[in-house]
Amino acid sequence: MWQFSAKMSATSAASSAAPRVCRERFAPVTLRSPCGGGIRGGLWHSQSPEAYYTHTPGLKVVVPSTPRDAKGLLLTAIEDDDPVIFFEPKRLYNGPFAGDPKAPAQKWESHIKGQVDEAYFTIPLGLAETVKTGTEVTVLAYGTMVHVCDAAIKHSGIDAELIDLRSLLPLDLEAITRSVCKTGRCVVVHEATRTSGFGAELVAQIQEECFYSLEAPVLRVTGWDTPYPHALEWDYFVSQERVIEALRAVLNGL
Amino acid sequence: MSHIAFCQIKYSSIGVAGINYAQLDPFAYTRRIINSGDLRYSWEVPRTGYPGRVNISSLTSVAETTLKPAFQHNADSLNKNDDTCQRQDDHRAVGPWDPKLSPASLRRGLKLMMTQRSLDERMEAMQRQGRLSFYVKSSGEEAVAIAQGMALEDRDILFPSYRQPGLQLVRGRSVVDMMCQYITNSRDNNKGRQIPGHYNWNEGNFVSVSSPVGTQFPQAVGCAMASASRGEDTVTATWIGDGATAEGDFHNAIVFAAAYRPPVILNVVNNQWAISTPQSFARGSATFAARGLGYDIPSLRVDGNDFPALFSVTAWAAERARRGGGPSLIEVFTYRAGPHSTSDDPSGYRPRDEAAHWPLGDPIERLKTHLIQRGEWSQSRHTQLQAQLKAEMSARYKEAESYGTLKDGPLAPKSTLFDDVYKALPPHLRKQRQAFGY
Repeated sequence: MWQFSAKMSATSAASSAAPRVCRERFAPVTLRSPCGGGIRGGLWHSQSPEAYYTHTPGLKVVVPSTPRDAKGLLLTAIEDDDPVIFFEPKRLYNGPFAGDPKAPAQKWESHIKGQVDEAYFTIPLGLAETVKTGTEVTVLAYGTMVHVCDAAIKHSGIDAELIDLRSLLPLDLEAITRSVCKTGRCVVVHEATRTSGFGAELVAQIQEECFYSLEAPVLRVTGWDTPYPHALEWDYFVSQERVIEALRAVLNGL
Repeated sequence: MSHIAFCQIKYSSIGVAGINYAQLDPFAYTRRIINSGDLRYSWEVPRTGYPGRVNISSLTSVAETTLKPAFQHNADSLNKNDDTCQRQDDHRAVGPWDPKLSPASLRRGLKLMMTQRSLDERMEAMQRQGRLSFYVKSSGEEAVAIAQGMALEDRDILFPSYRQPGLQLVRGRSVVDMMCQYITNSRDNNKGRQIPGHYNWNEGNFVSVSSPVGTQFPQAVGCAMASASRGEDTVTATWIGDGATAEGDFHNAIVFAAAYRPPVILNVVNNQWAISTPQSFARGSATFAARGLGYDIPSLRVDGNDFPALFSVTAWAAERARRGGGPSLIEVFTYRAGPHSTSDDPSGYRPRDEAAHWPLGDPIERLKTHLIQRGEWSQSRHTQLQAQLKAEMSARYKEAESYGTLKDGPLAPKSTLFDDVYKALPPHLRKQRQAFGY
């Protein structure tokens, strides 16, 4: 995500092309972009700018969290008639990452979705995946944060339901509302900065759809509203501890 | 109306002794490589006796087996310069671009280039030991920052790329401070926020390096426009690589420079390689200097390993800018002798010994030979200085680590994480800082 200005102009070209010609022609382009931190990349190589693109009408935005999803979603994106921004979390290229830099590096070989079928297959955009079912609280995440949340839920002992959004636009609102209406509580987690992050959009939609089912305010766990630091990276990157703290807060009252 | 504002720039005499710049026509030099006389080489027939030189045609034939497209272009561009390349073997500086620098200035330049090389060697060794995450060397290009930096005034504003850290040495920055930026420890003036090597130094008018290549070019043009509109006689200088000239930023900058004529020096450091992509890819069939001419900006090519020539053209461009003459573009023709960074292995895309065969030689060796020929330096003094710098860098690194290591700290205090995002901490960040525990 270091060629931000170039990508902004590329995407504005892509997103404005389709409506301008009244959809007589489409811009069926897929732009792949590395994103996210956890790689000592400092402020130029660690950003999570997905909300810039969900804020641009005409674009679709995808963030896979496993190799299997990456393949299936990428093929769908390429076949799609609309421009798609396809974000690939850098920290996940070599293996899953649960947020602890001191833990031994994991390999995809041992992960259930690390095995990728060589045959052709696709995964539709706008279909979230329930990574883990639960009853007490819903956790919404995407990209690297799916792995951090999964580990945090295991360590917390809380019976949380974890949903990997996989695509932000289109958004699987049905899966989200079904889960939140069931649990009555929700925590939204992303690496990106907080203010006007995609979490704000999720929280807005949840309160519109699930207001009378909510037992507690929906909380966000996000990157801080600062440039991404190099030296203090692990004070910035969302940790399992911060996720657990938020889960306890929505369960026990703020 | 902007033109009127720029015409108000005060003339400041910084003329270099012995050069009548008015007589020099930059347009005539666009296709030719300027050098200061002692260092004029024939590309085709280097003859004998000069250490480390090879015939360009043999370089081409070596390259043809492995890297045909790159080197065909290289050879082609070099052969266009036949008319200027008369080799002289006596290592004297002659000709209209000889800046007639004093031996003391040349020795200072030599020492600064050797300091940069010595710093690079120490830092690369530290990276290999895992004490730094990353390092970028200036090998083979030391003259770019040192000679060009010395040709500018301290008040001039610098927008470098990542391969001109030597500009800071010219302006007297402490080597320990530079090392601490790389380690991103508690003494790092960037408070550990930037990537290693992305120096920033306000006191030295050295503007922060950024990772997106080319962004510094439009920033520098804008900065020069501001200086001009304030009526200051400050010059802004910026550096971009050959590869980044294929970015839109380069052209955004140059079209503004052509339209508003601000006092800016646009340097294209053509070091032959954009990481693994040969410069011919971005250049096409013309020269990088010809890009400037297309925008009606006076543009020159200079042998970037020829210290006096590089000083001279930079002083020319600075004087011209200070007089209100507007922008200039300098194609600095050099060679990246090392890898792009410690994350790169050039043996995958160019012959392993290519650097040793670069026909324009090594900038330090060339200046050393020139000074020795003038009786102003000797091999024993050179060897002694090398040893002295090596010991100094070792000691300075130990000192730098006394302010912290990336692994064990101390780093910038955690409480600083929320500082400087805004001038004053706004309420929403205050709340986040409290949640963070400070």
